[in-house]
Amino acid sequence: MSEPVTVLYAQGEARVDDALAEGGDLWLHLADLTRASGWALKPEGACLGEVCVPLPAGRRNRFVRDDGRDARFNLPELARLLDMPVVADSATRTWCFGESAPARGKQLDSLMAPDFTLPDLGGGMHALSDYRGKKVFLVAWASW
Amino acid sequence: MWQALREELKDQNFEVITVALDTGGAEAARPAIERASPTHPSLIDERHIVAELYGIVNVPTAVWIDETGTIVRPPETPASSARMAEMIGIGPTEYVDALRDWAVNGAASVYIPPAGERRSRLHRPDATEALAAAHFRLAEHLYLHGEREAARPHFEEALRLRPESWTYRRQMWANYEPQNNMNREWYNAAMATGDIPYYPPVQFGDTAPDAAATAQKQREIYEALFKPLMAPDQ
Repeated sequence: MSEPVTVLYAQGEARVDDALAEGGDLWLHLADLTRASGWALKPEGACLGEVCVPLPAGRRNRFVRDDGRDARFNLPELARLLDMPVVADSATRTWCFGESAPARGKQLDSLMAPDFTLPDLGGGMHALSDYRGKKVFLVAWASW
Repeated sequence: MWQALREELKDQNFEVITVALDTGGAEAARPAIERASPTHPSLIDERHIVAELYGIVNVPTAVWIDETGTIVRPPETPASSARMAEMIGIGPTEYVDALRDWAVNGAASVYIPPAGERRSRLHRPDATEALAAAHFRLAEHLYLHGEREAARPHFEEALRLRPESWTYRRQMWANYEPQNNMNREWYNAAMATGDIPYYPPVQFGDTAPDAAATAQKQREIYEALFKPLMAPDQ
């Protein structure tokens, strides 16, 4: 039976009205898959922008299922293939797809400072990349 | 804390960006920011995004980033005061002097380690940390949407997986048990372990760091440390 869920993928957040949750699997209509995660199903496999991941031979039906009129895609299975952690909260029907440890490691190897955009007290948004061209001393602190 | 230094160095193409890891948002961070009256960006990070991106587990933590957006000093504990400097094992003004040296000398500064050294100092998350981060991300989302009780088990799971994370622990206390952040028992216990410094020593030049405990050993130490401080129903 389909149900509304909230999908947290990367820094995004999407409400999906008509998802199929079965244990550790979450089957999304293809349009919802792309809206929630950016991934799209193509002949080459699952694609995010220029990067395509072929679906493992013999296990396609763990990823794609025909649902009468429309196909559904099992996003957690793709996440597991990519070493991304998947955490679900059943009470609130919220699914969180976290960053893969190996992917983060590769990013750190590049020594490029990960970009971020955050507000100041007045609500003005600042991206780290806005300060290219300057030496930046970045300090994390907390009121606690 | 860094405002004076920022004004001193701003004409050398130097900027300070502070990030408050505060789920309480602008309201929580405002008093300290207004006291400092900064002229530099002072940003609010409710969901600890910067902590996750840079592998930050305690505050304060600083990162040096050059004009090309490259990390030139990986995350470490900075010292703007003599007291902090003592905790991280350097002279009273050594940290701010190092920043001055970088502002003047840029890439030629002796405080910029070579790229290979920077890579080896950058902490790489393992699968446990990635899973903890996903729980924390989910917890923050739920908490910020008013689902305090639904969020709590996910904060607790993030902490169970990463008992060494002070950002997870103290943010959770701020959210649910603020009295724990006032009580210094945990701090004294952490300082007394000896094995894992509350603030790791900073690696300047030839200072040889103590052999870092493996992530697993560190987790075991913190897990044991916090057992007696946990509430009876946990």
